[in-house]
Amino acid sequence: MGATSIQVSSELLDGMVLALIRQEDMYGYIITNRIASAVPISISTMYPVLRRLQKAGLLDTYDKSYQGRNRRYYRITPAGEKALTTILGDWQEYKTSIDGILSPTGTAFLPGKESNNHDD
Amino acid sequence: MTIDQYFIALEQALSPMQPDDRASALDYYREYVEDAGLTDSTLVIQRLGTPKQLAAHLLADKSIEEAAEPVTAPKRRYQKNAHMVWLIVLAVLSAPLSLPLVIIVAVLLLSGLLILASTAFTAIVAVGALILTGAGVGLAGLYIGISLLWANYFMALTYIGFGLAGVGLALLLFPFCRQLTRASAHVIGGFATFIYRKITFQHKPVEGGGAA
Repeated sequence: MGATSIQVSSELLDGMVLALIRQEDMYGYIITNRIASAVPISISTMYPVLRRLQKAGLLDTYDKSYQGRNRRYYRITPAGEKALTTILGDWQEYKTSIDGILSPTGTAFLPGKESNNHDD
Repeated sequence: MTIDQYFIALEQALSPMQPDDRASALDYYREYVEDAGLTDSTLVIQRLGTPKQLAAHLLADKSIEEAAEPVTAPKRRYQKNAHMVWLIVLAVLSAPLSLPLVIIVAVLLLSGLLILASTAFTAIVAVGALILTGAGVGLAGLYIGISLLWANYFMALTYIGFGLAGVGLALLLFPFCRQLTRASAHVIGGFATFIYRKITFQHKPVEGGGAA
């Protein structure tokens, strides 16, 4: 489920969705699960995000039939790749400067035992 | 409620949307429900909220998106903004807020919005009243002044002077009032969007959301 005390901005959420779909084309349920397993978002939030990215031309969709019904797959567009590169750069910069304060020696100070294992 | 009934209710609640936007939202959530293997509407409500809650969320999101788009006429922008604030208030009120703290924050933010809106409204009404008074007194002054012109020349000049000043004041303030209205609609809309993002992004993390 991931850390719950830190909020994800919508830019970061966009980046996560783009990065995920860049690995392989996915449909809504999988995208939602993967994102929700990493950050605390409500399930209903994913559709508006996907639609916004699609409308901005960063994602596009195609349909595949599965057990007699439709599954809508999302794939990343060249514009989406470009946007992702920008977000990754921004994130790296942000991460580095935050880490510079949080763990200046390069090793994070973790009080007590902090489990980092995910269930996927 | 069966799952079919859930979607019928959702479709009805989404009626303010454009037909194709509505259709694609419904398709998405139908597909989600099937892929998640949710066979019972209580499970659907647990994940997605009631049809009304889900619809309120989608409508608010849609209107924020539309408010960000470039618009053709400034008048429409103002109306859109007011409409958006309303949808956001509905969405925040219907969001399934479980934590007491989140509820307190929601209430505080909503009251902030209310204060902001009423302050803006008061200011606009005050300026509006000033405009009306200015115009009223001004026109009355002009009328009296002109009718006195041949009876008492200096008295008439005084009245005409006041009259012109009043009308001038009204004309001066009129664009200011319009700007004030537009600016406050913008600020209130921005604040409402902020509240919406703060509250809806973090409520209710998914239970057992492992990758399938």
